[in-house]
Amino acid sequence: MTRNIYVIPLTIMIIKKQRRWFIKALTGIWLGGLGAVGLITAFSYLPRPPKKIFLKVKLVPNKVIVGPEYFLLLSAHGPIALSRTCPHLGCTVNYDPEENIFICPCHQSRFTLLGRYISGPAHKDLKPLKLKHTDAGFVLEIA
Amino acid sequence: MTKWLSWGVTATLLIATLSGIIISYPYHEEHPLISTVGIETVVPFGDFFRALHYFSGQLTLLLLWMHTVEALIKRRAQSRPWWSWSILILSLPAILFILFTGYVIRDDETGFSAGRIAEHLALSIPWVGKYMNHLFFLVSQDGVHRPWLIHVYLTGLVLGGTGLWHFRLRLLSLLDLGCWATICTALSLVWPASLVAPQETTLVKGPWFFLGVQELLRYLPPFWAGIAYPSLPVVCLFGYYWRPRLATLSLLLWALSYGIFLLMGACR
Amino acid sequence: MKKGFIILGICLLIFVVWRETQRKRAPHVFLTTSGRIEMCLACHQERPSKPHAREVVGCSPCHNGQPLRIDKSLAHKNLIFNAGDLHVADSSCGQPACHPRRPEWVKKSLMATNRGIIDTLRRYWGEANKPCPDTVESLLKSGKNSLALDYFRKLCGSCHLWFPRGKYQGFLAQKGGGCVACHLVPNKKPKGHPFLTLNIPIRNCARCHNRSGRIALTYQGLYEAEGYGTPYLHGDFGADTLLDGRFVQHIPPDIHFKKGLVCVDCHIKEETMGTGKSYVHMVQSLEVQCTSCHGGTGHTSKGHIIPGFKKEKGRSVFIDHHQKVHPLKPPLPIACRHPVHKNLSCQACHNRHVPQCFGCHIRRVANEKQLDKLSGKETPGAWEEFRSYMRYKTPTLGWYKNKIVILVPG
Repeated sequence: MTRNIYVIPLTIMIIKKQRRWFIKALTGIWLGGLGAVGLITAFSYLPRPPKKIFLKVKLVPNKVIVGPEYFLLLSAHGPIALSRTCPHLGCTVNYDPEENIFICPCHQSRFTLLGRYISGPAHKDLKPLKLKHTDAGFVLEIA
Repeated sequence: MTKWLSWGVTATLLIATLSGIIISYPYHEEHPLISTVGIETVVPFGDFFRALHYFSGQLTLLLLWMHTVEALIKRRAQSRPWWSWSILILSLPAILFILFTGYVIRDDETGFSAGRIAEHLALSIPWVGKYMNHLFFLVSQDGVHRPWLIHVYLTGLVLGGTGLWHFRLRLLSLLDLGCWATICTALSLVWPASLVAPQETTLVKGPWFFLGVQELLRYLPPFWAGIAYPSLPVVCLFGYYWRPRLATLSLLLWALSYGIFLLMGACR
Repeated sequence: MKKGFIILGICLLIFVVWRETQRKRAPHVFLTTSGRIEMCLACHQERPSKPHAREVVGCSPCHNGQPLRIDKSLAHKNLIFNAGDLHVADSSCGQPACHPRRPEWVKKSLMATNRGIIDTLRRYWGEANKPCPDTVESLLKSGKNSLALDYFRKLCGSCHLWFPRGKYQGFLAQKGGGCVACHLVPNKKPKGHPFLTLNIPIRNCARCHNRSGRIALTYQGLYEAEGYGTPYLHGDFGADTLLDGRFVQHIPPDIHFKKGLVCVDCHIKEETMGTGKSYVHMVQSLEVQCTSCHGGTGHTSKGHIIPGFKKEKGRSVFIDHHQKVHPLKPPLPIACRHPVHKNLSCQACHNRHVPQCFGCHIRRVANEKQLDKLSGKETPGAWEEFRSYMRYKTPTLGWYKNKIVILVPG
């Protein structure tokens, strides 16, 4: 009996302590979980609809049409469109008429007019863009 | 002795925040460059507050950098618990990051390229790169929206974190704040805040402190040049708590090498 | 010390407020039709021409400067007055989105290189045996000089596209200027932006092509008279004067001129601006022939299309730059196509008169100074040109490349 006098309050204390700890853990899970779920929302983004551009231009050999996001030119195999985004770190590639090549102004990667990699840190070709030749003109799809 | 330095950091950061709040009103994140130019040319006093924001921000970084060097010389690290030292060190990359996003969100030639590069650098980090990019940049998908959020939120965090630290010691005297405001105003009256028009050139230079990384990115893979190498000094500063000599030596070597790359980049 | 800073701060604030009151703010951010920011338009009202409309192109693509600023000192940084100057044309007119590579080709054309003049001079004066590689551009860069080159620099050196337009006074003021040497038409309004045009008027060509063969004068029916202004009429000079002071008399003009055609109706862009090839002499770059249109298919000897040539209802017509339609006469079947005349060039019969200058000679005065038009500096030695007399005569015929052609002394 005497033992019980001490054991019962001790057990109650332990249970109470554990309960406090338990509640703390629950709160942690609740708030942490809320934060984690929130992070998922923050990480995600709403993808923009692909941008389609209609172009009414006449292509001639050796002339590059420079758009804000694309190059359009006439190759030996017909019209091609290239993305101006550098495959290295995403800067906007510029056309250098003096050397007749594409140069990235950030880290000096160079590409031929067909988008083939020549030199610099990019090590990849410029990405071609989807190009449709309709009766009315060109339809370019920018991803 | 060099209290002015530590208070200078607080004062300039406060000036940068206040002027930032002012110019954030006419700023539109969905038309970043147009609204930046609007602040510069249309809004009354806009160019002045933009320059004040720009120079007080630059000054914060410079003073914080000096403050760190001073703390190292005076062996302040050993007089604090390790976690307190680490939190203080974090303020350095945080301020640098705030300054960098400041360039990105103005979206001019420098800012646009800087944003794109930062995005690709974030993506080059193994495993967490994608999430880091989604949290901080994602400029190719979302424009300057996320860098803009980070620019504002992180400023709040840094101001709250380090500010609490300092304000607990002593309140920043109004007189000090006034003096630093005068210095920032003088700077902004001498030079305009930089703004580079987008153009078809074969060379674009990033923010001045980024030029060394830009130079290195020409030779090394993005992760090593853009993530690993620039985080070395931060690691060294953390490590300073336990191995001061080694850390100091590495820091000096790093600073020397970065100085060389910075000069190479600047001379292009 | 700190108090001083505070007082300085107050002074700066007063200055900032005062500066703001002195300033003219833009009403809004100006954008071109493509969405590019162009704050120059906040102050500048100029309208250059339709294809270069201010709302479409703005100012900075051609004239550089800082399009994001409105403070004059900042906005006009790196400003280019003459955007057509060949020193800058690669990044102005020739920028990728506009006329890429064109300036590069023009720089190789004879109007920019003057290779024909330099080569002839150096070879005739015994300074070279084979075609010289020297061009105006190379002379500008190297500063190379010799007796023949000194003569070129001081007398011929103002008739090329590298010549700085507006740098000198008098008749030199209008010369040169790169692309704008041809493509600019002055605005009648004072301080108005000159117009850029593809309809290049004859007077733009005649600013240079009025010496040697004097083709631009003869075409318009002008004959350079002797330097006396005779015959005197009503107590005044009977002849008109050119900008440089020379006298001209009126003679019957070329038939094409009478019909309203200008030089560039026939001399197409491939011929004038080049195709990127570097020629030594004009004869190599000339490709338009009389028979390209008259009895031809509208193609030059190098196969380029002459834009004015059209087939309308089965007959050949020529549409000039003013959209006027001219019927094209084929060569006469008997006179022109007869085997007897097979060696004759068209000009041998149809150019009945050409200006001829006899007894040309030059003198160098050693102790006088003259302007070197390439370097812009006065250097010792002044050249003077003399002639015995000018005549407007039946041309001398000669044999050149299996054809009988006219020979015009230059």
